[in-house]
Amino acid sequence: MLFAVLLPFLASIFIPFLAKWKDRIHTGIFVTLVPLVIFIYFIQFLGTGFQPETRSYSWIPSLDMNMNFYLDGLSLLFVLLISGIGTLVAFYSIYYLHKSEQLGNFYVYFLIFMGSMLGVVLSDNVFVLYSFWEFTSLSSFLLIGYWNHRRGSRYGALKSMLITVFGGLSMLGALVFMSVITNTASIQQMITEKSIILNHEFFPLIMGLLLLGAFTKSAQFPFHIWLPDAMEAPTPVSAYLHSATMVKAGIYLVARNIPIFADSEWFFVIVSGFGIITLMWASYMAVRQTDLKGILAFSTISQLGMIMAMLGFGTKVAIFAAVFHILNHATFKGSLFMVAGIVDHETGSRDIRKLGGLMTFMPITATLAILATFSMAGFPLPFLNGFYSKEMFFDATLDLESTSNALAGFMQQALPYLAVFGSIFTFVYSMYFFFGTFRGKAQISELPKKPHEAPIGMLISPAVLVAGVIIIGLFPELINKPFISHAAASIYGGEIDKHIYFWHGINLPLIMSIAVLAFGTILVLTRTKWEAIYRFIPGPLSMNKVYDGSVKRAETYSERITKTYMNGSLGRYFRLILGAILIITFGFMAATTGFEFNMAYSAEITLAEILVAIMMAVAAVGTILAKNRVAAIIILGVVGYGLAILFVIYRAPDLALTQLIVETVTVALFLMVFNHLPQLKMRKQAWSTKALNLIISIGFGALMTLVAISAHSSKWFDSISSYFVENSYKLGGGDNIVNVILVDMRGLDTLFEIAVLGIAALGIYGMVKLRSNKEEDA
Amino acid sequence: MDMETLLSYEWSMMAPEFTILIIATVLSLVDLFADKKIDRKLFGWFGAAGIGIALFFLFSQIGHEPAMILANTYRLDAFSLSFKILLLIGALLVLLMGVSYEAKGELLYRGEFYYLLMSALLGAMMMASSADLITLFVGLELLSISSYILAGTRKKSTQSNEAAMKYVINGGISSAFTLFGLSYIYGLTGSTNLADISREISNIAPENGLVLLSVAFILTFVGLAFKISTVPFQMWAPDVYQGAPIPVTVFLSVVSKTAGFVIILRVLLSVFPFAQGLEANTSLLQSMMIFISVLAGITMIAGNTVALKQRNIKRLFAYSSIAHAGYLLVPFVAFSEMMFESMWFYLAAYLLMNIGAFAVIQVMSEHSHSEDISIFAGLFYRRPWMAVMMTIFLLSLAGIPGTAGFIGKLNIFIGALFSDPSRYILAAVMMGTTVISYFYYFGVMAQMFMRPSGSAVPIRMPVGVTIAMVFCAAGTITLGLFPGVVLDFFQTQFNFAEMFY
Repeated sequence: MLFAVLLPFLASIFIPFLAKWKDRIHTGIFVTLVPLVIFIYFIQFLGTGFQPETRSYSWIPSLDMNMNFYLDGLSLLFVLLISGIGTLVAFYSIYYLHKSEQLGNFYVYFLIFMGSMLGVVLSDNVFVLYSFWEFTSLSSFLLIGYWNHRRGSRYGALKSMLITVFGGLSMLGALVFMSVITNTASIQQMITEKSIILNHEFFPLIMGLLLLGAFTKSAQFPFHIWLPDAMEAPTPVSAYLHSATMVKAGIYLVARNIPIFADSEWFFVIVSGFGIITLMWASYMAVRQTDLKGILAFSTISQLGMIMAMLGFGTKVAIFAAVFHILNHATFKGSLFMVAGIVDHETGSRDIRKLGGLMTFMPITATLAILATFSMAGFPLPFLNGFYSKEMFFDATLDLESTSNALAGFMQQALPYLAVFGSIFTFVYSMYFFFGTFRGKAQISELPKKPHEAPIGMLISPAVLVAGVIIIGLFPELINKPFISHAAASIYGGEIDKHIYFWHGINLPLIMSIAVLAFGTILVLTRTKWEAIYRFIPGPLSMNKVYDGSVKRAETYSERITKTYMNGSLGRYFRLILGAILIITFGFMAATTGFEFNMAYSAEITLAEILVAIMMAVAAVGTILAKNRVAAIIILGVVGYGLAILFVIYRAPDLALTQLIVETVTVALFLMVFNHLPQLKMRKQAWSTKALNLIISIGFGALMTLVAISAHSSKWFDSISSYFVENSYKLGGGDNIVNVILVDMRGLDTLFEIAVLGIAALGIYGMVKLRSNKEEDA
Repeated sequence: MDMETLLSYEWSMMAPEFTILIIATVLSLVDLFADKKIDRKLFGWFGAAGIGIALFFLFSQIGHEPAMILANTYRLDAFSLSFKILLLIGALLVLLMGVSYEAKGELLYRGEFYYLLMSALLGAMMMASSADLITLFVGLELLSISSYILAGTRKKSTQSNEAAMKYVINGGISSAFTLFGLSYIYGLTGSTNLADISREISNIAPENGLVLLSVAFILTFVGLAFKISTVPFQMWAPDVYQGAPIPVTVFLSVVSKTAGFVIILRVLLSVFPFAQGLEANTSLLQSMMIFISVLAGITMIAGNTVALKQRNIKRLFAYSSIAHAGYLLVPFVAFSEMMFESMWFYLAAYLLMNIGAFAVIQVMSEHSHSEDISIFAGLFYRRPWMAVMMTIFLLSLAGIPGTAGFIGKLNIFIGALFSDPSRYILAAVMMGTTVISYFYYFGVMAQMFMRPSGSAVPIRMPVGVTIAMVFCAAGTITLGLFPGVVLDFFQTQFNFAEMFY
């Protein structure tokens, strides 16, 4: 099983080499073999006696990330879809993609996608599942952007990537949460411990995050907007990723987690609610499209919505119908995409307004199309599988479990009507798709190419799928017991015994089907009259506008922040830093009562000291107000000299002397340096900036003062001065304590200090000399 | 101190540091006397060999009992060893990039680059090993001053000069804050030795020491935030990263940042968990976590949102590196058992992916003489392997599975949720900002894969930078697919309890 998952990855390594011979042999031929082998391997599991299997391969035990594969009915359904449709699509692409294209890249992405998708549906370990999940998004990004010379391609690729990866990340959040509270990374174990998850205080958050992942991936309203843009991808990709497999990963995720979440009433409300809205909205939107693939994209969205809604119901019938429809949808939609690709390939256009009357030119394609479209529309014919699952869907909407929740109760009342409404439009766009393309008047002159039937190889894949439509339609029981029942049972968590009949007698679902048929036909026939409405709605409501708007807004917002605060101005940076310190420190001080103000250790304050202090304060303020640099430096010097006077008052003449010298030298140095600087210009600053500066500087000054007072007010150690008083004569033999400390007790320090100063002086000398040399040169 | 005690020290503990010191000295002397015609690029290979020897010594020290020399100021323990490995590997890769760096006429004194890099590395290693505030600060300054000069090595470029000037001013301010904070720690405990401090600090009664302790904490933290470029000290990073030569930018964003985290862990963890906090039975560190978590949150938001609109690729990565520093603070705030492990692993992943990405940027910007994001246009069709490697780095930076960045982020994320109390909000901010980061990382990817390339001039790939690139790509993938190898080694070989005295 591990090999089955890894096979596509291994094969992708060889593709670039095989692609070198693409002129002789089309790379797609090798690629087709890969899903075929996988399909053959997994089809052996099929049968009535199927039992779930597990395979474990240890990978990163320390993080509880192990390759634990779990193959039950649900996984098997998806695995067969992925490999089966994969084979057909790969085969189809041989004819679709010309040898002159970059085949190597295409098939590498294609195989990476296939392997990741297999990994998603087989992994039991949530982290591994997430890893593969993101790789499907990534390969989808690369495949959508394959024809990257088109602007639409690049836009669509980035959009789909951002939306699905965002969803994936929120899903990871939910998965990590679940694994943290249940202490396991295995989904099956989580199911056995679901009560922990259901009763957790963050349960709504967990479910919300998980569903966000599923909804973005499966293009549920309002996240559906990426899927229509993803249609820029080559048609085989659309058929494979954006219809049959990848977009169903969200469905898979919801189905996989139903055993955990189904007990919550909100699960029904959210999943079915979004599902049914998606169904209605997208089937309505599909009618408005003019691009063939656009119609199919919205149709896919609406069908996904329908499946999602059924999963939300959670009843036996609904789950069975959901599984059945997953399979049916893959068959008819896959073939329709291939038909659209053929039309595009042979006529050069996908615009339904230019197409028409192609039936005479391409009869085989048209036959395939008519069968698939009518199956999609749910036309009541005994050889179309679409009808069965649609009928079951109606049945399911009528047969819901009773609930006490008011919202859920209301929804149950409304659901049958909404389902019929959505299905009417499904019928309308199906007819529109077929008749618009193949019937009516041919406009050959409008088309870039003269239409003709496709080569036989290109028709094989859609034909196989349409054959599937008919076989399932004729003999639904053939796949029921050995296949669908297992899948439904593994979602429901119990045996499901259901028979599929064409004729149920005259009952409510049948009446609903007839209503769809009747209203649908009226709408199709009177289509021209409705066009005004189709054009008008949704208009500004479109979610695309929201996406584009938010991307744009994020960018302008980002630009604004950059301009306002990371603009390269040091002054502004400094203001922010000090502001942050102020907020944090004062915030913390407000939370404590630890501030201390204690005069016990202070000597009495004399008038002289106060006068000196005032002088220093005035000088400090004066420095800021000074109009030129020299004045500012000299005024700043006053502060230093004031300090020297304070030393004198405190009877430390040597310190005062040092201070005087240092101050003089600094002022002199400053003057010397400033001489070389450009003229100081008073910059015009906004009043608000000045005020902010003032507040921050005063605040910071206040903070430092408070800290200093507080520090001075707390004394926990004995002063060390008594030691020096006692020992400096005894040990150093000097009367002046300061001198003894400097030259004796820490003599080595002093020596090094002198050395450092000497080196600095040499450096300065060197620089001055360098400068004068240069001037001489000049 | 007499000769006997001096000789009794186990000097072999410092063998890696001595190796680097000797290399730096020899290089500076050779540069002074050697003929000007000798290609100074040889220095790079010589330096790389030296770092290789230092790494060899370092690995032979693994499993060494925790020990201290030089009057308990220099410490060898699991913490210092594990982070020194990162520092050395980072510097080695920077050297390789430096050898290939060409700046037409702007890099006048190439020799200086190598030995200043060595002395900066020495400072960073000292920071990792120091057990004393003084040693620590000396290491910090050795790293800082060397980096100031390094930022200005493109002498003829005004941008480089501006970068150096801004760096030295900002750095000076930050050092002042740090020193002021440290001086209060010393004042409160009467010692500069971390072991003594951690003992003494628990004796301080909260009713009178709390304000001073908190001021000490805040100023130390804010000052050190400069090195790791987190809010509120992050603004210098884009200006300096943009102006400095690319190898220096890498050095600042990786090695210097790692050293910053090392010093933050060392100082904050040996001092503040033992001090009384706001409430009874809590430590000051716990009381302060709320501020750090707010800063971490703002850092992630600011770094990621501002990066959105950047066209200059170096600036873009500067903002992204700010965001990554924010992610790295999350495990510190969560303070779970996995903290060291997840920080170390994320730093390792960050080292690989960031250096790798910058290596590609260096090649591309030298090729097209531009730093605009559009230089990556169509890279996939010109140099497919380089584009694939860049994709690996970008995916890893964005945290996509299969890469080291994902495992690192997952570790951090789980740690934040597992910790007690859980840091849900911070984890949510991390998730949200990660989504924002997709916009710009994938923007670069879209350039490589989905734009036509402008020119067909073959891209020259010098040896050194190619080695660095390949090494980083291989490492990113290996750590992403088999992180167990490293994590298990980490758990068996490094016991972080050793860090506490």
